[in-house]
Amino acid sequence: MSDGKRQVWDEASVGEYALGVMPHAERLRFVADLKTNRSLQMRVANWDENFAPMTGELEDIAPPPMVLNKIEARLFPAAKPVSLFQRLGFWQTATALGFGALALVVALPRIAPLPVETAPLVAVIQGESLLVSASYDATENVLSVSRKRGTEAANEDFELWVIAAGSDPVSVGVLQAGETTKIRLADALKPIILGSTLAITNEPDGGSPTGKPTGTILGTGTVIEI
Amino acid sequence: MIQTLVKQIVSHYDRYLSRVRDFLHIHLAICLNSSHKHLMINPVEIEQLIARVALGDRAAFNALYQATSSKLFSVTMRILSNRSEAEDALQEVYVKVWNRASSFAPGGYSPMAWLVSIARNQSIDLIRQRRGGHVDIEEAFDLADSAPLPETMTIQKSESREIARCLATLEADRANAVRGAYLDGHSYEELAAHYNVPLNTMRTWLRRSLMKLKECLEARL
Repeated sequence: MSDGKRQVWDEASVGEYALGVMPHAERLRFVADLKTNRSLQMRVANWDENFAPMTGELEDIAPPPMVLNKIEARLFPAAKPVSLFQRLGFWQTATALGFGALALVVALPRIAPLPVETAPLVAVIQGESLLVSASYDATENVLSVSRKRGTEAANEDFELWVIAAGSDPVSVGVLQAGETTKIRLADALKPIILGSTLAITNEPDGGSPTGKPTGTILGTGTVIEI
Repeated sequence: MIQTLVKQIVSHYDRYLSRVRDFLHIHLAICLNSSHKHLMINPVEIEQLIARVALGDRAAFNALYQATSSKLFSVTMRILSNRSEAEDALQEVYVKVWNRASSFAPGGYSPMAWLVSIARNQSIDLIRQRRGGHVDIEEAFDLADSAPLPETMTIQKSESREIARCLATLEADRANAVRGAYLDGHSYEELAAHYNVPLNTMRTWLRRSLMKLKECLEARL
């Protein structure tokens, strides 16, 4: 090949490359050009953009949790790989034991006057820089949220979301500055709170302007019965 | 009295929690379950996540994985049609996403098209390798390796139905050949065998189809 002369790739060739059918030898030449040729990059990107919606006909398949563990173990070797099962199992046990003991001591002296209709529901919302415990009082339909660790940045609020399996997140409000926030839930949430996920995101002051999470997920936890 | 007791228990509980936490070395923001995949789905949010991943934000990486891995896994599964290979490919894809997030430029690729192109390239490289084709490190290259596109080079964003509408203008066989190449990762050899035509004929067909598609896709502008 003569030096300095750039091969002209017609649109069908660019499409062949994007489609992945370009024969190997040609593909190598194409790739070599692509590295330095911005307009060729853009033409490929255009095909990629046009083709990508075809994946809409593929049904989503959730990969097994192991895959994420392996990826994280590779990328962040300092973090000891702990399987999701272990993580959840441990936390649920820790939560159940901790809150179980607490609930017992609190409840014991008052057991007689209190009608024990429902088991207490709790969740530990946990993330890298955030630890929040939540307990739910079914008779009052009130969620008490206690912040153990984590501070929002200036101009930010921590917003709490309830996510029932298969549903969109529902905002239940922003955490107040103090340690504990008591939030009365919408009646519609009452039947679905057990087993749902609580998540906290950082949002602009006063909470998400759209009613949907816009910030980073800072921590999540599952509501369990103890 | 009871209050003191409760305080003691709370402080014990906290210490217990922190010990468990240290023991487990939990660095990552999110304990996950499948319900989270609905949390973030719009392209702007995915773009924001990629931007945070570029800054090394692990929580954002985790959230990005939650929001997009089911789609990308469907891509690798379809092409590789082997669960364990598809899982390995998905691993490679997200390692690349982590490493290349800084080369993702808003105004260039739309975030899903960028992610899908990484997943497809990964899977197609693997399948060509598996089927005894050529293996070359260059094969692993894709556009995401290169510097971000200049802002002036904006890419036309397709409506998701455009490609379907334009494929429908092709003869059914030819449209299916394009789909087979894109979704199943079929090579010319495989397509030629499937449609029972010589390799060169297959290539001529497909190149013509691509030109027609391009015409159709541009005609809407």
